[in-house]
Amino acid sequence: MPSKLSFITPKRRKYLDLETKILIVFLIVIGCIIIAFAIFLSVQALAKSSNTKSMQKEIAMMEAEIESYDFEYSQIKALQRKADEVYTANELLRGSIRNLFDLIPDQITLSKSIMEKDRLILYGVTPSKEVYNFMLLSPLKSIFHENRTTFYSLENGWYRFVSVNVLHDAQGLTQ
Amino acid sequence: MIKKWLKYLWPDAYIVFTQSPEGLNATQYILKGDKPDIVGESSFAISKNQISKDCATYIQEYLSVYPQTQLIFLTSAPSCSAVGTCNMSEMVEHGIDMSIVKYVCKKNFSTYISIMDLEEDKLLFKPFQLDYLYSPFFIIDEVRSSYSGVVLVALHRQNRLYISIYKNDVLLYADNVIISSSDFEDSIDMSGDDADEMDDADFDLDDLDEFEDELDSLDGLDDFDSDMEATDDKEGFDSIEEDEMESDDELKEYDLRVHEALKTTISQFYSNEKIQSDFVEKIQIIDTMALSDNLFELVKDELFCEVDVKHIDLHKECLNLMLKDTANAIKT
Repeated sequence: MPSKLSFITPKRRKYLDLETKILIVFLIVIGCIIIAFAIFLSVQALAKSSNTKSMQKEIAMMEAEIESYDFEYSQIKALQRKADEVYTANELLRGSIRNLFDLIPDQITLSKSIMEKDRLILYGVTPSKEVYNFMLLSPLKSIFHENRTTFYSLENGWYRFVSVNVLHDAQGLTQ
Repeated sequence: MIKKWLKYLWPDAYIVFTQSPEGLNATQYILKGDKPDIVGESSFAISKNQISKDCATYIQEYLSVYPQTQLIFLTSAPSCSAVGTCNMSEMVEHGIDMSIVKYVCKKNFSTYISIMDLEEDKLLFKPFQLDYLYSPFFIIDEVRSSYSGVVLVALHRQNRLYISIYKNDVLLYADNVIISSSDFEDSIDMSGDDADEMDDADFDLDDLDEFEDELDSLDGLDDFDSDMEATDDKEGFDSIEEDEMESDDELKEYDLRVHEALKTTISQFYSNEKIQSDFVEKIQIIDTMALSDNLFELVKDELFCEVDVKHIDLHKECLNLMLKDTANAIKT
């Protein structure tokens, strides 16, 4: 503090001596390091938490995707089942057709055949009714429950025929 | 805000030192708010014109606790005096060699000290640095009551009288008088081999001789002693009471020395050609010890003056002076 009446001028006293100053600087440095480390940790924690959030979002998205894939898979599965069924049915049908054509004797010529679920309609030409009855009708009867045949005589003495064969049980045809 | 915080952590502390023939007296204060509180009082010896180890340890400890401690010293230097001007040429006219003194001016008067004494006071506190060194004449100026006529104000310390004569609150004359150097002589550490110390003792003894010569010529002292003897005879005190009376006598002898010093100063004031001397109408005694009432009666009777006595705590007044001084210095 300044003085006007003192014979000597006072010198400003220091609040802290050298040792205390060093100690305070040391404490400040340590404090800064701790604060910096705390900031680093909090930044890291923030980054991690944002990472976690994005990961959670990704997980949710992936779960949704999985759900959609599951749905698609189940649909595909169903389609596959259906395809399998169709394939099997086709296989059976092919077998049936093959069997059917195996049934047709060489003397009879088929001009048209309509195969429905529960019926088989055959159009063709036979040299005689007997050939037809013995060689084609007999196996047809063993397969179908009901057989109706209509003959039309041709000029050359042969017969055009229309054979309608019905199955009461629809499964029967494919078998 | 920071200043307040710093003041809270490190309050302003003061140690006021005064010197007596026995050594150094110290009072410690701490400033709480605006009011200084006394923390403690201590006394220390002085060896080889330096503070003792005890005193150094004490200051060091105090500084370590309160780094803002200010060391204040009221000088006892024999060269310290005052003069009623702040003009250097006028001071030279008063016989002051300005090349060997340091002076401080306050309003219309200056107080000065020889540079040698100033350095001695500074060296006394080595290795510590003294913050404030005040003149007792500033204490007189602060403590005295204002008076429109001619008034002699005497600050009494142990074996020392600082006298200022004011006329209408303007300093006319000042003197620094040693009352009795016998106690000083006893207190000097004679075991020391320091030649300078012996020189100082010689100087004091010379002063004593001169002073005793003056005292021997006093009629009043003889009368006073014979009065005391007569009283002793009448009362017929036993041996213990006689011892007490002896110490009383010593005290009275001391009072008489004070009285004589006042008388001498007044006569010197009247005889000083450089000053337009007027009759001293009033004497104000500022006492820091315990002068007897007999003295005041004696002064009143012999010097035909109104006597006003004020008892002060010198350390407290010194601190108040410092606080006032620093406050004024900051303002300006």
